[in-house]
Amino acid sequence: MRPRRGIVQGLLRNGAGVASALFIVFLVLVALFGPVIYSGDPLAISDSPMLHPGGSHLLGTDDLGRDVLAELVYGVRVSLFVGCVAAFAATVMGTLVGAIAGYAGGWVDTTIMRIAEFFQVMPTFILAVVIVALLGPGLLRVVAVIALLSWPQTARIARGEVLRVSQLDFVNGVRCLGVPEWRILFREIMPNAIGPVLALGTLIVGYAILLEASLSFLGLSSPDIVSWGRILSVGQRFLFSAWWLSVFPGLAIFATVLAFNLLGDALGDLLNPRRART
Amino acid sequence: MSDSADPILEMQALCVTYDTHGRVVHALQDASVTVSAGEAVGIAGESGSGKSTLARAALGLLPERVGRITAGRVSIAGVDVTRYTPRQWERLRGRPLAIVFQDPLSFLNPVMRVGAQIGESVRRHDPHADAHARCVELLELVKLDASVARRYPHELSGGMRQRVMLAIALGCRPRLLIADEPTTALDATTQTEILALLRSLRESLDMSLLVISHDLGLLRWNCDRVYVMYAGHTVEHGRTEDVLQRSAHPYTRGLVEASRMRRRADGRFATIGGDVPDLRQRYHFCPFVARCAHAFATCREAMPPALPADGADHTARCWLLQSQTVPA
Amino acid sequence: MTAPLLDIRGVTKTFRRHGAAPLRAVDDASLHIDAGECVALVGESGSGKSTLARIALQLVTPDSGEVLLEGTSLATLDASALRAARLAMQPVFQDPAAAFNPRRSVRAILRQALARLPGADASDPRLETLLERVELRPGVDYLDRYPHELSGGQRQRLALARAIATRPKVIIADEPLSGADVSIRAQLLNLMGDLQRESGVAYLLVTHDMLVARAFSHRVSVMYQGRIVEEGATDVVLAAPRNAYTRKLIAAVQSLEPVGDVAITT
Repeated sequence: MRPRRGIVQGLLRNGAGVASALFIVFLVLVALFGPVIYSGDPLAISDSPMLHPGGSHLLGTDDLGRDVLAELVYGVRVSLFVGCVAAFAATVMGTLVGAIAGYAGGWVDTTIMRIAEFFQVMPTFILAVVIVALLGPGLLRVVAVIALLSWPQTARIARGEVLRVSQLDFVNGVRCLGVPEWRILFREIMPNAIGPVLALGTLIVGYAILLEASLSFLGLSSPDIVSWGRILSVGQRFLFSAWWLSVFPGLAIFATVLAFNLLGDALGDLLNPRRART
Repeated sequence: MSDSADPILEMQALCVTYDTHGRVVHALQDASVTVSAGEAVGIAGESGSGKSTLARAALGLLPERVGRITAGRVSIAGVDVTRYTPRQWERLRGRPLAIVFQDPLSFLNPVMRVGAQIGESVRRHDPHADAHARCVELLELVKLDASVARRYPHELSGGMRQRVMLAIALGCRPRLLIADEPTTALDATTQTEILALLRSLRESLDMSLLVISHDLGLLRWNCDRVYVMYAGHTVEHGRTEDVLQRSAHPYTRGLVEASRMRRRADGRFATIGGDVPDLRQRYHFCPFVARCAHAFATCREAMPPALPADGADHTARCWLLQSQTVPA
Repeated sequence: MTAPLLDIRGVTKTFRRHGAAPLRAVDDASLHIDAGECVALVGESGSGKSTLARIALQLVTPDSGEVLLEGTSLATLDASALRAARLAMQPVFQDPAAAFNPRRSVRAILRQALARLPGADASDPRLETLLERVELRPGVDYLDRYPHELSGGQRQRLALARAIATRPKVIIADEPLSGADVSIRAQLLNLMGDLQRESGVAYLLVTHDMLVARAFSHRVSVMYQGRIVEEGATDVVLAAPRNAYTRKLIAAVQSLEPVGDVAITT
């Protein structure tokens, strides 16, 4: 089956979507090739602390003499890793669970949705803090927490879409051909239901990045991970004397989360099944 | 407004285009319709004929930025409204003209009681009116019990909802009621009831009626005159009996035959070959030429003007009429 | 006397609803179709005709009663026999917009149907022949298109192409003409008639329009509030209806003829 045509053309028409997509591509490139340009350990303590931006240290250095730009470049990897893996995990889990709930209906549906609500009701941030504080820091733990708390949203959307699509006549048409139910779910219903789910997935990336930054800001991330949030937490102490320690990582987080949000919006519009077809 | 000799609605050589993301559709390419006081006029056409666009253009309801009148004129009671802004339309709408649509369920507010919606319409026309009394009056007019006012739209049957929509439309005492496919969503038995209601309303309120439908039988029973539309053009016009029984345009003839769904001698149903016209192009020649069994050279070169046909005020835009040969 | 091709016997189906009384959609309804004939099931909205069609198609399980195909009750069939039986009864639905998976091309749609028929040829030339049989010519032009790129009439033809792909014995069409324009309806009826002449397929034509029933069916069953209130040969029922509701339906349709002399009498 081919993907729906016109998605790329549609995205191109949305200016914000294009800008965001380009920015994200740029981030990926930085994540892949940045460390090549900036060889050496960004966490290495040097002897030139608290330098203003400019000269050989384009964005200045922090209190331990680390180059801020190098830390930002390395930090992209962490942010993208956490964001994408968490969003991916949440999307996959949520979609599977939501689809089964929507397709099976009855007590299966009710049970699953009650469980989803249980997770949704929990205050994400506080729970993340508690878990990391109890179990100790670790990137995978952060990812796991975010995925665990985000899947209900995806499940809800997936369930709604599956419910909508399974009412359409073409599903019955295929059923009358004797195609088994599981095949109908995965080959007929799911491809038509995932549009809004993907859009939500993109938004979750942004949210995950923000959450990870917040956790490292609070010092709950391990000290040997280069994270934008960690630079921010240093910057907080020197807010007025070393403004560059707050502004640059802050801008980086802001721009990245915004890009994913805008991309998510653009995708959401495009993949909306109610959208009039060209 | 102006003096009563002016037709209530007049559309002359109207052209409307829809422009979505660079894709242009010429929904109306040359449509002329006139409705005078006390008349019942019908517009017959299939999908792609432009009939719904016509109804919307008459009330300034073309989608903003997407739909535009590119040529021609629309005047309501003598006032040229072709270039009206949305503000001007707001002041005008619901006074001389009112419209009833095909699907009452999507038109009615689901969270408001029916009586309140009728009252809203009444008050918009006359802020000092006794909305409640008028509402009861209107419900009676559409043959609904006064208790219906307290119900919500989803509690009513399709036929009742259509009557409610009529009541709302009549709340502003329009001089012309436009009904766009008024019974398509209804069952056959309810259809005849609504049609009979429309007829009686017209007579008792001395109101003009413009009925738009693909159903020729419906138009036959409600309209004195009928326009036939094809590819955004009004291709035939005249008294209903003339247009339906002595159709001059090959398309009309085909449409009438196809509507009857009777087998011919060879056991097949009369049909019009080919498919619906492509409105992305502007037709400067007869748009029906691709599907017409009687087309000849001139048909492909120029759009025929309205030529006289059999019957008073009966015209059709067909070159066949010029040569005075009426094909068998 | 041979068993009818499709025999629906005394089916009843009640739907439970949240916060409302249960709805008896179909109440002890019976209907039969012989090979090669066309039976119209006429009823207005809420009559239960669509539910009955779905019961016949095995999409809805009746609370009581049975459906027999060529004398054998479908409920007694094992999985593989049931699969074969399903291929013998194919649907055509009302809304061409929802009748196909929007992500499948015409080729994929037809291939999917042919793939269920053991040993069937699903090559492009075969698909083109199938398309040309429903007058989508030239077939090769349509293979790569997607359903939303086709007009309403073209989509219904595609629906018929898919329906006949598995060489069914009966086609169950639920309001197949309702979404189509008047001129297209006549074309589709001609096509359905041609297909019947060529392959001997029978039709169960579910419709609210008595005019369509009159035009196309040998026998008609009238359904009202879940029950079959009248049935018989179409000409006979139309000329001399015995049930009051049938009379009402006929009157409504006659008054809406574009030419003729019956008046609206309400």
